[in-house]
Amino acid sequence: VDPSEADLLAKARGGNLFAFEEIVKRYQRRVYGAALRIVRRHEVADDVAQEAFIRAHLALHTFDPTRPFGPWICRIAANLAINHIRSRQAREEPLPDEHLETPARGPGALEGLLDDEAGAMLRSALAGLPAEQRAVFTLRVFEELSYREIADALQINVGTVMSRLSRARERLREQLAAYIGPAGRRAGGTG
Amino acid sequence: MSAHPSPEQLGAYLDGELDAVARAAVDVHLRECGECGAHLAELSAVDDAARAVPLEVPEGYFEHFAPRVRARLAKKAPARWRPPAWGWAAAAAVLLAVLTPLALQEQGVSTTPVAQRLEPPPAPAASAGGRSERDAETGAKQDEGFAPPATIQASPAPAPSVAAPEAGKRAADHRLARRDQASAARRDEVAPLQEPAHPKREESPADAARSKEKLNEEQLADLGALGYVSPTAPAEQEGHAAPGAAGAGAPAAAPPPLASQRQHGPRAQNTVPREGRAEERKAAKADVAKDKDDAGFTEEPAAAGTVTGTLEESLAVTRRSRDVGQGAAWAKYRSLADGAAPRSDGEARLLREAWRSFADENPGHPQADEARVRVVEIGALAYRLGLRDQDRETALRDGQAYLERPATPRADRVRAALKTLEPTR
Repeated sequence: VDPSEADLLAKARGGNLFAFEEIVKRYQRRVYGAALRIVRRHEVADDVAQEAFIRAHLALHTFDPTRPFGPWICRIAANLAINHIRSRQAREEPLPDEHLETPARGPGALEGLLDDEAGAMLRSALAGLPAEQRAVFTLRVFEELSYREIADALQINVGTVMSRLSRARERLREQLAAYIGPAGRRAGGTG
Repeated sequence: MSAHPSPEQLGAYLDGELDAVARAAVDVHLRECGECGAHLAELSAVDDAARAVPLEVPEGYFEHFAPRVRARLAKKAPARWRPPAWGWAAAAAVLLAVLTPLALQEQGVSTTPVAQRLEPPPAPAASAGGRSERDAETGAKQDEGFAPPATIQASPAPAPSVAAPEAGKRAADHRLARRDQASAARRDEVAPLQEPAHPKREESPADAARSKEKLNEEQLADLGALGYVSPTAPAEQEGHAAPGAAGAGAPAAAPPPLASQRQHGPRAQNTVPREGRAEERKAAKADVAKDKDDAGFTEEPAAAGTVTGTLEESLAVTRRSRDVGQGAAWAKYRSLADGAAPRSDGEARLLREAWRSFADENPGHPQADEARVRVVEIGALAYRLGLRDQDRETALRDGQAYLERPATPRADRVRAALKTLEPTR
């Protein structure tokens, strides 16, 4: 744990809101990003991210300061996000008309993939994942949480994490087969 | 060739989630099976492609996010620690029980040096009543750790003219004399209240006008939220002991504990000419506020009733620590750093000026630079909350002044704050 972060967390735990604000600044992009990738709507992601920090602040006394803060706050956000997805309110919300993600541009192995057409396909594929699969995929691929951490965050078992993640990847792989087959091989990675 | 691993196994292999045995088995298979190798590469490419898609976030969103969270927390946060009402009452009762007999006894030993320094107390009933109100507010704190001043201890032993136990009487003399000394010293500390708001700082006409304006009700509420005065009775908040409030926000260099400030601080050792007890009573309310301010928490004086005051007075809370020494400066720093987050541009302005006063009055303090940065950051927040051009100009001026300093260890924060002042399109 970053010593300055530990110091900030200790101060925040003592009630120093400015110290906690600094913690928020450090993790706001990550938390908001995790929320947005799951809930797909800015205003909902904003609510989720704020609420995640509020709850984290209230539960700071339960947080083990020797552990990294990032995964902890992301788990809180993911839990809130997936609860929102499961809620009646979310089911009644219209799907966003516009994609919230824009393709990156530039050289590299994925250059071919992330042209306009492939980028649109990728955004569509990500948006089309079932919410539960999208949540697991987000926590693993973007937040790099372990299966155990994902299971705890979403209150499911590790086997379910593994199967949902696999289904999400397979679905994306099928939809993007025309693009990622060669690109993946050019990237040459087995991860 | 071994059996093909399942997609789930391949994914877990990619994520490093397989145990050693299963991983070794997949390794062996991948060396023999090009199809599974290609599959694994595609899974990895899916992850890479997803990571390459950036989020589209509304412009300026993250500049306001953290302050919004803090504002929400400030609304939820209970008031910082306040002694319960029964605590003050108990302190009053104890002190009344102790001091009243001693004071009466004291009238019989008026030849002692300590007693000579005390005015003849008023009639017993008035004396008890007069003291009870003040002691209810100050007594508990005085008992926290004020040692009898050395000057008193060194005075010639009085020849008792009554048969009171020597030790008990000496203790009573010390207690009373120490209280007088402390009160007189506090009167001196309160005196700067009458001084101009920022004698060391060039003030713009707008600043000068603002510092003279009287507080309206909203501003009083603002002050309460910032921990300077409490506009409401604390009864409903007394049970909410904010965890760790007393020790919150330990600064980089640990300040002296409050108890030691009281025992060894300049106030306890300061010897100044005494004035009349009537005047002392007049200063009692200010003394109480001062005590509590120095202690790093805010407290509604139980008998103070409705709080009234001016912006000048609220800012003087910081200035009063000028002569009290480093301990009080740390206490003020804590009180500012741990205070409620501004919820409005008015609150932000008050907090900005409180930080400015702290920085002006404690230029050599370890947190003086932090205070200068807070002036800019909270000034920028004031502008964002109220969108008043004057606040923007003040924040720009403060930020520029900071960046022109010879040492700017927190320049990044100041630049970030200044960036939030740029018009968004």
